[in-house]
Amino acid sequence: MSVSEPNLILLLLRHRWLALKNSRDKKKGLQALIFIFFSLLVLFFIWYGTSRLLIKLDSLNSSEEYSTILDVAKSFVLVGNLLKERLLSMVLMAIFFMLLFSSILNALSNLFLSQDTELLIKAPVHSRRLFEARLFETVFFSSWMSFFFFAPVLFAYTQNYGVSFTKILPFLLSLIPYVIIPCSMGTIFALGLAFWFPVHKSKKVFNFLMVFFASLILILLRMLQPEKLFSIQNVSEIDQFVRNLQIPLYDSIPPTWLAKVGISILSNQTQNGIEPALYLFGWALAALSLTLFLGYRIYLPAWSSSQEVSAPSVLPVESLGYSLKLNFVRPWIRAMIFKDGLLFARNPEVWSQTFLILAMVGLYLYNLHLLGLDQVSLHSHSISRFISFLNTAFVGFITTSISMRFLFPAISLEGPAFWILKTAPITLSSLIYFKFLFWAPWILILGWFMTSTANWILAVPLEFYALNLFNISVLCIGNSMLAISMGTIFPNYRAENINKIFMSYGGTFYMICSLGFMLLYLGTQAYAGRLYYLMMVRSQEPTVQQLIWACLLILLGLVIFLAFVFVPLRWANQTLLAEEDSFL
Amino acid sequence: MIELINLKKQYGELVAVDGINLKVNPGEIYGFLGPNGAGKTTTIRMITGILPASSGEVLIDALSLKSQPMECKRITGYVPDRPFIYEKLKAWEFLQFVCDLYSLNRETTLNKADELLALFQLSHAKYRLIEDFSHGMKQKLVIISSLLSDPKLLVIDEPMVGLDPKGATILKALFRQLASAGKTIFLSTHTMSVAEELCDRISIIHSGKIKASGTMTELRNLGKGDENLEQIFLKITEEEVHSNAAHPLS
Repeated sequence: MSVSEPNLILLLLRHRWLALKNSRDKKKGLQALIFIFFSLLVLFFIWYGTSRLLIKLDSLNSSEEYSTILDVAKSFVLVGNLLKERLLSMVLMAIFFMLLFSSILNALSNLFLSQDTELLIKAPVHSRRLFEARLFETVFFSSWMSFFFFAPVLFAYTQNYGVSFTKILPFLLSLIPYVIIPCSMGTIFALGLAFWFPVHKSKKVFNFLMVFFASLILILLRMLQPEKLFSIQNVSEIDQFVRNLQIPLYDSIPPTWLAKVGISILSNQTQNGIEPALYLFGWALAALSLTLFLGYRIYLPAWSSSQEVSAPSVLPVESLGYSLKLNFVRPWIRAMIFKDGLLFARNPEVWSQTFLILAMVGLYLYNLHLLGLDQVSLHSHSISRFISFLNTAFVGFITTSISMRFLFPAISLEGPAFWILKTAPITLSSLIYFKFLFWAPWILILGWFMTSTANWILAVPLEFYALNLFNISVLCIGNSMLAISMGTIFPNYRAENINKIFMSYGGTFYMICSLGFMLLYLGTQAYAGRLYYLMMVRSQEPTVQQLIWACLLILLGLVIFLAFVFVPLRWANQTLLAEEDSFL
Repeated sequence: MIELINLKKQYGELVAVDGINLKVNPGEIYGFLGPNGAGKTTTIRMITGILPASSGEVLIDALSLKSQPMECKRITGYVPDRPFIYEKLKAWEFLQFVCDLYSLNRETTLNKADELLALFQLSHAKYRLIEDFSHGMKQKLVIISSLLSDPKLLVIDEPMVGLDPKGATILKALFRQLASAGKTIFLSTHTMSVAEELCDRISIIHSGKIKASGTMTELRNLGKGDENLEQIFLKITEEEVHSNAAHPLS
């Protein structure tokens, strides 16, 4: 009697759905609602932003400002339409590369790291069906989020072109081969990688590389200064601009094919979309066939080798702490510096995030440089001083975000190994202080660097520079302590990954507290800063009453700082002492 | 060496440990037995200072764990049932870490660590990342780390889980050696043969309460006199289950 094989794709999807359903925590209903609300808000902003942008681009087709340009451009095409097409190509290009990267990670995860693979291999299921199911999972889980965020863009385009939803069905159908191509490429790459290298390390390396390259792309995009597209000064520039847009740079890649299909449908010239659609489907079929061909042959041997091989550390950092000796500190502090330092250095994921942060910092300073305050001659002094003060708040906000990522989870990351510290002869309050002293200097250095560079770019006088430096020091120290304390009060020792620790109620609460702290503290300092500015620039001597107010406000700022540091610290100490998580 | 006075742990309505009293003498190997969920691990966590007690007191070497936690922790070694340690450290780095954490003399302690690694046949893995270790290897490494500070009291939760037969034999011999040197060993286990073979005295905990305690002879006297520990254990815990079943609302 023959027994039919189960439909593995449906079986695995059902299993995933059940796991998701069972993991729902009823207490977190509110959190889910907040998440849905913010997701919808993001979707709305994407739709609104795209719609506004498309309207703006439409105006380029008829604006008087560009009438001379149109005279030049008429012979080729309307500038606005051309820009809209390019915008769609760029969005699809970005999604394509995101799909490629995420499919590599998902393929590694689904094909080699899933805990149920061993069970499925032992089950009476053909290995080919298993690979097909895993490939389906890879395609699905790599792409759903991209299309979730692409949906409002597409909606904005259909509205702008006045096309009904039913007319874009062929475009939606063309999304299937568009997704299959990068996901197949990613899967083939992951198969090869796992076949030759141990997969447990590969995933981490790829996480690192992905963020590293994303940072590079971000920097490159910013360096292109896209704002210049909207500040064209003369006809010759526009002439050159239109010519540049028409150069078929990326004509032979799937995102351009899909963009052509989309534009042909949107502009009622469907016949123009047939050829690119055929390319899409043809290449997708070829990529899928190749993936299946390789997968049927390589998957099982690659999975077996991934279970056996053990590789050296990704970032070998040898004897970091003990080569430094650190004899001047207490032994337990030395032990903690050594432990936390090595754990940080050996985690490629935190390195990738550090790169991303550095890229963001670079972009922020570059943007400040591009403000071109030297061109604003009349009030440049007032503006630069005002911006330098605002800059302190911005830098404070950036350091808050970084503190949330690195300091907030510091205690939670002790996780299931916390018993080692809890049974050791050290007090838990000293552990909180240690975490603060270990991390806060880095935040402080970053704050100082950003403030100093910004003040140098803005060419503010020395006394303002000193004031800003003092303020950012207070903000960095306050925010760091607040992050450690809040992370202790709202811990998650069971989190599988660090994102779950700070993307929580506690993390949100920390952000709110931190923003409140910065607002209150800088609010108290602003008055004194204004008096000083009026005295130095406009020669207005402050009255005694104003001076008393300024002193009181500065004092209040100090009280706010101490309150935001010590109240949560006390709470954190009590929480840690009463910690009863059975996981620890 | 250990004195538990009316020790209680309550999680909301649930009473995990219900006012237990217990005394362990120096140089004794004391077995703490009980079915799953009986309160063994909770008791052990309170003894080691990981969990605060809801009420009652823990005395270690006549020192109060509540008022003198540092002194108590300094003389206590602990091996948990799940050997979670820092995966991204190498074995030798982890031992160095523990050495500094307990402010121990580096030279003598690390010599001792070397000897223990050799004893447990882990010398070959000294410079390997812990994430590459098997469960048993991690268990051995945690046992080694717990011995570095030369503790007067060793608290071990399920010592044999994950160990190969050779590792288990080495550990049993080490326990006897430590006990004869005056160290106290407090261990919880499901393996009756281990308890029967090693322990000087045994307590059986069920539903957060100690149901029986004494030497093997004293425990046998509770039954027919010729029963082994497993039969005594089953008899004590099943009696409890049956009495609960007879009065389901009690």
